[in-house]
Amino acid sequence: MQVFLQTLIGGLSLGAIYALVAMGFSLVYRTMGLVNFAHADVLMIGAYAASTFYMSTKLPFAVAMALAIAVTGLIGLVIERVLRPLENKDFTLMLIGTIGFGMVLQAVAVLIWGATGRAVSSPVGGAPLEFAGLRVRTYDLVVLAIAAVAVVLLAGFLQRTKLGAAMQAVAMDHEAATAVGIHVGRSNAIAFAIGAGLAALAGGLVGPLLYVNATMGGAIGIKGFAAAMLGGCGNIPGAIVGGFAIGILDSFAAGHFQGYSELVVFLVFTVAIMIRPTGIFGEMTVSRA
Amino acid sequence: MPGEDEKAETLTVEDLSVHYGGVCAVRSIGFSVAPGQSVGIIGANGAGKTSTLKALMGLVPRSGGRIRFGGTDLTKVKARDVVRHGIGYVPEGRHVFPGLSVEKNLMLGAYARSWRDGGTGEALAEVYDLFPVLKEMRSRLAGALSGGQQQMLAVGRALMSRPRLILLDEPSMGLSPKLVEDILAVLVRLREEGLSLLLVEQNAKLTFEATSDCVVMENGEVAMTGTSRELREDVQVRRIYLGL
Repeated sequence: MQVFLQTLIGGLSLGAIYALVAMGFSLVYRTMGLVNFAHADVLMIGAYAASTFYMSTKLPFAVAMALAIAVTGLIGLVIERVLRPLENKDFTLMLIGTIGFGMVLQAVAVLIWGATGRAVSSPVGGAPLEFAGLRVRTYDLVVLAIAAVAVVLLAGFLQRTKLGAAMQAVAMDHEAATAVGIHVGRSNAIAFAIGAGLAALAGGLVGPLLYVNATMGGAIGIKGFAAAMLGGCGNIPGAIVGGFAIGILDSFAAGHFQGYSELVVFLVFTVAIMIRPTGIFGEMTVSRA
Repeated sequence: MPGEDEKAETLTVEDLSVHYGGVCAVRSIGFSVAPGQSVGIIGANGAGKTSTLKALMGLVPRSGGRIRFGGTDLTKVKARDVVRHGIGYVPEGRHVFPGLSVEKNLMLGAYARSWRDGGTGEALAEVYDLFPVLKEMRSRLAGALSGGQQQMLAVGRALMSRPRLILLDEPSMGLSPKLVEDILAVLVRLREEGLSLLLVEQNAKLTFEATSDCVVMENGEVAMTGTSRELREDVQVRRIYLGL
């Protein structure tokens, strides 16, 4: 039991990070019907930017994160703006365009930060906390708290603001949204920017847990994508549940299968998605003419 | 529910054409809707009625012609800005936002206006007054409403922008005869309140009762125009569109 609970706790912080990545995928997908394949590399840029501001510029961790989110948000805006002319012409090209942007971002990262990668020190030190014989790293608690705040802010934005409601309307019916006066392109751009900001948040938070390098996006991005699919692509609560499911699965697989853990995680994911192709909270997705 | 400033605004359409790829859906049509006038466009499936409305809204590219509303040239106005010139649109098939509440659907109807200014609350009260059922269902998801209720919501959403002209595309589609009567009552009431109406319908009987003048479209062209009273008595119209 003790081991079980300890393994569970071990999966929570990475689970929260996968959930943030999945939320970014889902937000863009539900607004535009587009899977942004550059998402994972935006995360990597966010991780580098946050670690640079934190370790080289010696800014406080929170400030470094905020700056990293701003920088990647801008990258999101640029990606959307460059791809926008394709939206009503060739959707497949737009999808491929996001893959292209991913490659460009990786190349830019190698140019700026080199190919070797770096370790990021944890912003909160100290011994792990103990509760009833279970050990919890303080940084894991920080990650969970920040992820929770991000979820609350995003939900509040979508539910309570005019812009959030407009973005949801665009996701549901972009022609009717246009007719009531909503600027669909701007709404898409905001979805992209928020998605990129979420990726940067995930990247900045994952830095101290893993190693930051130009190809880190692949590993985290694919699990974040799996989390989004598992939860039901385009569904925000689903992204959160999917993220934690993948994180915890990851943790148990690492404990029991060591070197084969990735294989086990994706096997379980594949079986789950075969049983329920729409994901846990599968909902009607954006349809495009 | 007329706008605060009742400027005399006539919708004038001249030589309007719509092409999809190489296919011509609407060929040089022209008509006008005077302030407070109610005009119907009838025609068979594929006659170009919906394309005409969408072209007015800018939702499909206009390949020629001119559209004016009062003193404004709408020909180059983008779809998202048409509502800002006082034109409300009720799309074919209702197109409410299914995953949002009824009230949020209505609030989004006022998107082009300010979100929380006094006017939105007032407009909301007026729409609830016109459609009491929407008030009862205000926190229900729009996708959970019946077809008739969704149609009311689509009309209510268009009214939230306080239009001076409202374009309605097949509001009777898929509704029972009883609900079609309800729609007719709503259209008559809007007309009495001084709103200009442009109604596109396959249901010629409803159109003749709701409008004063009509345009008959065939194969993308205007085949006939006249008062609704005249057209209702026309032998050909009776045979083709009323099945008499």
